[in-house]
Amino acid sequence: MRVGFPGGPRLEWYDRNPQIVWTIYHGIGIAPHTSTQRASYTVPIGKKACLEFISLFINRTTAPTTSGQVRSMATYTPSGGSIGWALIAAFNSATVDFTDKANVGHAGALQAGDNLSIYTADASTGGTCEYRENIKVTEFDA
Amino acid sequence: MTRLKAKVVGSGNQEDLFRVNLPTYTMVPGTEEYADAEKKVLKAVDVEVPADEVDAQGRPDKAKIRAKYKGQPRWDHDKVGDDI
Repeated sequence: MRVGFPGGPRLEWYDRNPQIVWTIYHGIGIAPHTSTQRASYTVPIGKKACLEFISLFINRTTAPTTSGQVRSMATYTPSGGSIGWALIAAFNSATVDFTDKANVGHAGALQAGDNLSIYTADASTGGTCEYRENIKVTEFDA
Repeated sequence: MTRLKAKVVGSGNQEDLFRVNLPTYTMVPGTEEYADAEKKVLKAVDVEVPADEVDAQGRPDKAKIRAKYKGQPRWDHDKVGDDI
């Protein structure tokens, strides 16, 4: 017996009009600040997306007067749902060149309307930090 | 991507982050404008947004955004883009 598909087999997701979407924030010499959404990506209608990796990196560049928590965060909000933390890097240190980082790879599929965002915050007084936040997805026809 | 100046909304706390009210964007570091520089209250920032979400003048295009995110309550409404 032969099994076939009248219209031909459906292409794999990575062959269905794929488009790489970089969502990045690279901030150098960033002074203390309250929670700020640096970048946002929402999956359009008719598309899905494969979340390939999230990478967060923070580095203390100059010493603060008083150190507070420094955070770099990625969040995921499902379509019509509530926001949730996906990944976080954080430290509380006045030491120059102190670093924290967090990475996750191939985290799964995103549906139309799903949102990924990246945030930074620094509760210190004085001093600066460097932030490198990257999200890579491949968007494709649903 | 298209670069434009956008208004920042929110109050900067965990429940109401400083943000730009667009579905997809990236802030350009070093372009922040403050309503209160000492307290780091953000007022505006340059952002990069997808080219298919802006009009010929480089401003957010309501119709294009609504069509691209059709059916999403947060973006498919007649006030989307008004606070940019």
